[in-house]
Order: sequence, then structure tokens, then C-alpha cells
Amino acid sequence: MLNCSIVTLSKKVFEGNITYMSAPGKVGEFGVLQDHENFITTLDVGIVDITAESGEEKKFLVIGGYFEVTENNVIVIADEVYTSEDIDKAYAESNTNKFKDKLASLNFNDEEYEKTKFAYAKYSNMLKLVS
Amino acid sequence: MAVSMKDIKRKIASVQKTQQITKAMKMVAAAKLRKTQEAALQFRPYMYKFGQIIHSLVDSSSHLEHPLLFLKDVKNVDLIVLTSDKGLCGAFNHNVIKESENLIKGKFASKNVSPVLIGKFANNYFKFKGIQAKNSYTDILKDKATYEDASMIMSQVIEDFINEKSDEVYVVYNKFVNVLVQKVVVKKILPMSFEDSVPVGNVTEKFLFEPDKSSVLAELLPKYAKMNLYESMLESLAGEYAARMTAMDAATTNAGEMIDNLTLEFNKARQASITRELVEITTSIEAMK
Repeated sequence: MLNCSIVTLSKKVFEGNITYMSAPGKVGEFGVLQDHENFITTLDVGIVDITAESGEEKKFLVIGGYFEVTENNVIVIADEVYTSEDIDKAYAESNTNKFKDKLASLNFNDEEYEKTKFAYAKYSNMLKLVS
Repeated sequence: MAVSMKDIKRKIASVQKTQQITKAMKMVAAAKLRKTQEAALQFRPYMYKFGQIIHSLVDSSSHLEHPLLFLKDVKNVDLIVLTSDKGLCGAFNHNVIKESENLIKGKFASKNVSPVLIGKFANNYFKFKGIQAKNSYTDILKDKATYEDASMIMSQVIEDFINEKSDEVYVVYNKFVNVLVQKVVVKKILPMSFEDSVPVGNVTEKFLFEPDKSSVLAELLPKYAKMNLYESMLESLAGEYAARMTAMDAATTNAGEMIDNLTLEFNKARQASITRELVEITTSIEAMK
């Protein structure tokens, strides 16, 4: 069992015991079970998946996050965290399409490329979370 | 006597007007306090957890692994002084400035201190004292503190630290304890070290890093420094409104007391004039007999 807390700038999103967590690391998705080695990483925009002690599964969209596990204590801190209740599907959908088209029109070297890519990742993951 | 009664009446009216203003200001401060206090309190868990991560990170790193961890021979100190833009908040700004003054004359007396000033009060004071500020910012702490502002100010400070223009960075600010108490706190931001900080279990063993240690440090440490300043800004802002609310509450009470005293005086004067008139009438009747 792992003790997990997910916090953002403005609130504590989740705190409790979990049995499993998967998170999107900068270099690829990873999963954490009990007695994981102490580990720190930065997170990509993506979905954090947890299985609570009760067996209930929860999903969070995490943006600008860091992850740490020490002796079965998991800490996720992030600039923004969304749950499926926070998201308006139509809004996410329209933005996903908007940024997808914009991304397609941009060149890899363009100034706005990174920003657009980031926005696209944010909204497409929102869509993934609600669907 | 009649003139003096008129005077007292005028005085009462003027104090009443003042009281109305202080009352309104108290209401405004209370409303703003609620928002800023919420923001400050909600940020605490984030900062606490971030502190834990940084703590374990710093514990398992040597001081040479990232520029923000370098312990240097201290010659130049950057002192960030956080005050408000507006007054009428009791000793709020005065306390911070007094503490900075003490630091400059005491602890850092042998060092070269360059102040980074936030808020009009700090600016005016240091200008008056003829102390050259390194950077000064006004009008950024209004209704809310933003991370962007903290990030902008801190970026400059971090750059100076990395370029060895400064060897230590401190921030002096009012910490919001509760509505009645704001405590002046001196917080060391750079270099990052933990002597008296968030307690974490025994973290002597090394960590696993992804992608690698240096990039994790490079991302987390500057962010933590910025968050540290952001936290101070949130606390200071909540403290400011709390201080203003308390000050205005006291002012309203004082005005009330003054009105009571003046009313008493007014009544006495009126009674005196009535008594005198009666005496005049009775004496004239007596004289006519």
C-alpha cells in the first residue's frame, strides 16, 4: 500500500492510500507499486491513474507536474490538475481540433510550435479523460 | 457657550464622517482578506509537499551539483523586502522595514547588501534613506499575488545568484498567522539548504532519477525558489488585508469613543446654558418683587 497525495497550487486534489499508480513521465509512462525504489521525476502533460485501497479507480489530468516516491509515500505536485468533472467535453473537443489544425500548419522551428503542442496535449488529454 | 456648542456639534459630525469611512474600509479589507487568505492557506499544502521533495533531493545531492545549491563565501547578500503599496494598515510595513534595517545593520553589517524592493512603502523608505535598491517593483501586489510576478522577480534574482553577483538571498515579509497576528519572517531562499525545515524521514539512500539527476535538479530548483517567493507574496498580501482590517476596526472603535465623549461634552454644555438661563430668569423675577 502506498500513501499518496496529489496537490496543486490552489488545493489538495487527492490524499489517501492507494495500491497502484501510473503516471506519464517525461521519458515515458511508468507504474508504481508498493515498495518501489525511491524515485523522482518530472511529469509530462498526461493522465495519472490511481487505484485506491478500496479498489476504486481514479484518473487525473496533470499539467506541469513532478513526482516523487519515498518509502511508500507518493507525492505528485502540479501546476494544474483536472478531474473528469472539471471538464466541459464540447470545450475540450473544440480546442483539441483548433490546436490540432494549428499544429499541423506550423513548422517545427516556429516560435509557437512548443506552445501549441503543449496546448494540444492539454486538450486532447482532457478529451481522453472524459471519453 | 452657544458658540462652543456649535463647535462641538461640528466636531461630532466630522468624526462621524471619518467613522463611516473607516467602517467602509474595514468592510472592503474584510472582503479582500477572505479571498487572499483562502489563496494563502490553499497554497500551503502544495508548498509543504514541494518542500518535502526538494528536501529529499537536496539531502541526496552534494552542493556542487547545481548552481542554486552552491554554498559560497558570503560577501554579497540580496535582501528581498516585501511591503504593501497602500498604507493604513497599522505597523504592517513598519515591522518589515524595521526588521530589514536590523538585518542590514546587524547580521549583514560586514556584507554588501543589495535590497530588492517590492511595494511602494519599501521603495519610499529606502529612497528616503538614500540606499540604492537593486531592483524595485511597485503595483504588483494588488488584489492578488500572481505566480507570473513572483517568477519574473525571482528569475532576475536567480540569474544574479548564478552569475555570482550575489551569494545569499533572503526575503523579509509578514507571514499571515491569523487575522490578528502577522509575524515578520526572514526566509533564506538561496542557496537552498535545509537546517530547520520540513521534517522528512531518514532519506540517506540515493534516489532514482528520470531522465537524469541534473535535469531534474535544473527543473525543480528554480521552480522551488520561485514558489518560495510566491508563497511569501501570498502570505504578505493576506497579512496586509488582515492588518488593515484590524487597524480600521480599531479606528472605527476609537471614532465611536470620541463621538461618545463629544456628545457628553455637548450635553453638558447644553445643560449649563439651560441652567444659566433659568438662573437669569429667576433672578430677574426676584428683582421685580
